[in-house]
Amino acid sequence: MVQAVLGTLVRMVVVALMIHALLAQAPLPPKPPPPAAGERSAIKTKIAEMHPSGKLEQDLLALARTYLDRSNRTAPENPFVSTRDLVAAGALAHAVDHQQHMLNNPAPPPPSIEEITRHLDRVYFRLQQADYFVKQSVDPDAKAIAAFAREYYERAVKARDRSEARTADESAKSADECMRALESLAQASVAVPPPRPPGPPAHPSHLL
Amino acid sequence: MLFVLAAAISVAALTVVLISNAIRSAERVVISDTRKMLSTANLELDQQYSYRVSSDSSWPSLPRAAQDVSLRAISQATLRSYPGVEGGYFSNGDIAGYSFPTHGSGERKIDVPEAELTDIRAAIEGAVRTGHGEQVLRGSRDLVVIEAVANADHVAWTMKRLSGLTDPGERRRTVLLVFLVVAALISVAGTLATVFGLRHGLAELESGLARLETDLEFELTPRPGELGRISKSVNRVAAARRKLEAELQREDRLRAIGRLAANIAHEIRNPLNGIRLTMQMLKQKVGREPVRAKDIDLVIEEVDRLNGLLTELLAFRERSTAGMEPQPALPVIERCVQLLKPQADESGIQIHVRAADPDISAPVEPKQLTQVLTNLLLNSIAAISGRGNIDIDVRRNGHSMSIDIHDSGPGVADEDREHLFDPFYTSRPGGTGLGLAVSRELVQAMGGTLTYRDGSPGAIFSLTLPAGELRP
Repeated sequence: MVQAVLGTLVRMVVVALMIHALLAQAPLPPKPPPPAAGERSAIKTKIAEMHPSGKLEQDLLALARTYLDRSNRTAPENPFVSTRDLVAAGALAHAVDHQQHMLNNPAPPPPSIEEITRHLDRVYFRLQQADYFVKQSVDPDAKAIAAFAREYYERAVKARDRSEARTADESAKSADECMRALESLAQASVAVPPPRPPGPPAHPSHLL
Repeated sequence: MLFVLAAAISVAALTVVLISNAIRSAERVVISDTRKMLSTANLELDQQYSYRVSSDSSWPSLPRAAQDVSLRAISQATLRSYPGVEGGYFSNGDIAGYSFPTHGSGERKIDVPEAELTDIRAAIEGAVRTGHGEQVLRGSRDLVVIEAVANADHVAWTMKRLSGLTDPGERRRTVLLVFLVVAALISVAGTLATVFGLRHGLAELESGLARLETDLEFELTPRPGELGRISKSVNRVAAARRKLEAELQREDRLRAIGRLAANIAHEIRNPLNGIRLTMQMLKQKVGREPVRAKDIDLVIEEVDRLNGLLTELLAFRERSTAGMEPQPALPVIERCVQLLKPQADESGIQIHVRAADPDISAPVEPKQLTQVLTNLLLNSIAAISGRGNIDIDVRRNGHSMSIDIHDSGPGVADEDREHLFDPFYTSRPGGTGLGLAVSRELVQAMGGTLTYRDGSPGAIFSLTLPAGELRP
């Protein structure tokens, strides 16, 4: 009799613990959104339509094509890496695009020299991160992209010093885009951690 | 001594407190400067974070690891300008983007330090609550300052280790304890050394000065310090005194010789005059009247008198201590008494000998002791001039033997006492004035002293000799 009562109690406790564990299970972190098909095709179209005359831009475009192709290949089995490659391809395409904007006439008026200078300060800070991104990235062309970013930055600074606002603005933006591509490649090198196992949060819930 | 000790400990404690306060002030300044630096770094980190996130619409959807790469790049680029500063962010419930770009190892340091993790989280928690959090960790080897600043959805935090700044309380206590112990030990040792040194030095000086009273040749041992200067001064004074004493002795000797020579001349001239007068008278009588034996006897008497005088004078030379061996004094005394008993009996004088220690002996020359005792007893008999008593008291005084001869005579007049032992000084008609002078010379030759003191009534001559046991 006593054993039966004890057995029932033990079962009740186990069931209660299981219910509690299920209720306390934290929601899984959101999966990275797969790259939108529209975005991918837009980048593909943009790259296809570009015909830069400069050597640097041609090299950048070639790299953009490479990353787009790789993104397409890896999309089914590794969407995270595929997305980072797609972002890198898009950023490099934008860098080339900014250089082509300088040839368009008429063009919208460029920002003021002061605003360009502030932008250049931010780009300079981004360039400070280039070494880390290059080391972090496993991509063999990461170093070349960092060099492109520095080249555009120097062009922008010289143009700014000559008060060529438009050239300075577009070159700064190209440098920024190169750094964005480099950062994306560095992000692609890290393994995406598995979803957090169920259980209490690692840190006090009241923190943020 | 206690005052000195207390003063030394007080000075030591005051020094420790001053040093401790100085260290504390310096620490406060260093910590304050470090906090300012960390706050500036946090501000920069915060700005870069805001710029990075706001310029990327896809940031929230990025996996945590990817965000970590970007944030670490930012913290590396930012903290490169802050030597010794490490830090990162706290976002989405976890620490992210940690880096320590100026870490001395040369390798990338991307792991949050485990030892300070709890305190980093505490600073972050404080920042979340109030916008700003800080922690100061006082370790045994260094001091760690952590600053955190919260902004919207993230916290920027930084940390710096200050080597060489340990827990001031613990260090102060240790320093204080060690300093006080050392200071107290030094004070006690120094005080004791000073006190013992002074005591020892003063005792040595005291005994040295006491010895100098009897031994003019003695010199104090040279010593360092103030006592050494005193010793040198005392030795200089003693040397000067020795020189002075030598000069005085020389002058005394010359004066005594002069006086002696004058007295001798006087004593010799009188009998010579008598002899001359007698011989002149005999010369006149020769051939005219018969020469009487009585006239020649006068010459013989004067010659005998001269001979006696010379005999006593020669006694001054007899300072030989040959044959001085410890021997019982009582038999010598009794023999002298026996010799002079008829003369004493004739005057109605009783001589009593009392010996507390009949076997007491002394290293003496028997002839000289006999002469001394005879002189003293004859003086007493002559002084009494009638019926009276002479008491001879023999006793031991420590390492010496004393013989007191106390007569019932009138004693020595005050004006005569000063010259009592001077040669040729006499208050008795017909006396040569050599008896006491010779007696004292003989006693001194045997290593003893002869003194006079008032007997009230009568006179006491006290003869002291070093006591010595008979050899088996």
